[in-house]
Amino acid sequence: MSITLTHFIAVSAVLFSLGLFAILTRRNSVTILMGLELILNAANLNFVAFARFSDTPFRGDVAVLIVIVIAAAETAVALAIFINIFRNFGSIDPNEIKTLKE
Amino acid sequence: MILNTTKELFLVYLPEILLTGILIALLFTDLSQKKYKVKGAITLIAAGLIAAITILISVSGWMMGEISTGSDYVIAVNDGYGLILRGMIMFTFLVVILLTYLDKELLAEKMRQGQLYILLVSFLPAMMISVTSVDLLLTYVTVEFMSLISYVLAGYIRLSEKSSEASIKYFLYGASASAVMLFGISLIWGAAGTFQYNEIRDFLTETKGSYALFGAGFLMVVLGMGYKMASAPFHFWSPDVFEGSAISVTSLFAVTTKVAAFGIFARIVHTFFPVFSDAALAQAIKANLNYDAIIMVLSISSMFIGNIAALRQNNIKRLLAYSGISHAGFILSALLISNAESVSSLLAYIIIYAIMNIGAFLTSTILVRYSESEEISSFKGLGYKHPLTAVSLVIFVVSLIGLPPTAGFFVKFYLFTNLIDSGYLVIALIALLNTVISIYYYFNLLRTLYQPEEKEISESVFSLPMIYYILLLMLVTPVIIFGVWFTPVINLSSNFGKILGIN
Repeated sequence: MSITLTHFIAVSAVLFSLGLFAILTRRNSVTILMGLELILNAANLNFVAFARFSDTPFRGDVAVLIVIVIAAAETAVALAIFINIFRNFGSIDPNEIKTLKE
Repeated sequence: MILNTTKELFLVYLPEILLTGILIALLFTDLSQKKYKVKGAITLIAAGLIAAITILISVSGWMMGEISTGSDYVIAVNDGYGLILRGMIMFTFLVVILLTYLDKELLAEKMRQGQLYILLVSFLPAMMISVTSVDLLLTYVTVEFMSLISYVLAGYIRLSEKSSEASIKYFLYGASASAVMLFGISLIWGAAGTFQYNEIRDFLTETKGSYALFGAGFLMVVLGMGYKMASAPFHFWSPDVFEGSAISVTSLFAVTTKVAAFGIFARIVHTFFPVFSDAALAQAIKANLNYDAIIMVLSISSMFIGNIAALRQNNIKRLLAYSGISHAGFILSALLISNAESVSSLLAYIIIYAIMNIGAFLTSTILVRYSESEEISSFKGLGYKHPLTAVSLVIFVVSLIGLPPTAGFFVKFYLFTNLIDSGYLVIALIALLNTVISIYYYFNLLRTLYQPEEKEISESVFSLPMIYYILLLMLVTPVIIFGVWFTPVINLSSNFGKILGIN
């Protein structure tokens, strides 16, 4: 059996759904961050897969490199924010952080 | 005209390059000075901004064209639309920089004042490049750049619970929205095989590929941008983040970032679906992808949710946040207009909205400084004590409502007539209804200003530096003059505000 575009899209759709599931249900900010990374990697897989099966391949690969760098920067900022939150609230569960009124 | 030599690119982006130079200067002064001089930093940034605005008008304004990186791949354009938005971003940023000096909360962090100005200035080039971008990847990178710095700025007051809560909320909502937007971009790339706006438009008109894939991707991009514009139903972060951050950072999020976000989104919609330049073509696209229904939902829900939630707010920042959500609804409705004045009514609204909103933030920062509280009820009696500031706030608020004789009235009038002209009478009526609702909470704010004080509060030792009176005058003047004589704004936005590649 040869691997076609559909197989890649299926994998990236599963990754995207898992990431979204983690963001919506988890109660720990770090796990939510992992869900975000899953979505970004699903997008990366899409970029590479579509580039492999199209006639202008190189732009998709460039996109992946850019996204990897951005994801790293985002993680760094996120962890700094989480440390600050833990110092102030003693927890990184987003549901417990509600001093601002609804 | 294609701009691809180093000299041309240098001249087009000279304002951004100058501001980056100032950023480097700030970094070195922060490292070398023992005691940070806030006044010096503000003066340096303000001088740089004024120089950059001058350069934008006198140099970059004469270099219209498509910006290409070597080959024929067009990554950004330098057009009248982008120039006006870049100018507005720098102008509102200038006011924000001057505002930071009045912000007690921010400057209390004595050891980290240097970082504050570095973060603020590093924000600016990303925003200015984002409104010129015609490539989805460049758009994503600049939007993400803006967002990452916003998360840090929202949580800048480290030991305040409110501020750190604002930063984590902003991060969790914002990063999820932009991750979904990136997935959407990957789907659009899969469907159309390109990141460039123009080529995506060609793909849509040729109807050769998969509309389902493109439609799903476009919806995800709308989610990401809707979050940045704080339009309902993606607005949940906005009131909390605005309340938690320091007030000058809030005004940055409420005005400068939003000008950039509206600019990006309007460019995407107008380039993908060129309704007003080719009606038959637009009908062909609409038959496959009903994009104006999406914009209608965003616009109507923003107006209603923003205005109704604002009715019972007692914090000035939350009130202005909800007012911003409802104004996002008005601005989005301008994207529906299909006659020749589509872009100009959008741009006129953005220009006037930025001026009156930054004015409202400036006056409320001064009032917060006088009353030492952000609750509206604590503003009682300030109207008699500080008449100049209070009268300016009255003018800005009357303009935000859209009552004559202010510029706010004329942009709304211009927007509504164009909406009716394009056959969206219902939307215009809904917008009118929402204007009526908004009178209630805005007038409540004004009424509080002129109520007698209940108890004598200790006389505030703070006296406003002279420059802020000049700044108030600079912002009040256009709001009143353009209310009586609106032609310059219409001329500027209709003759000059052209989106390159569509008209």
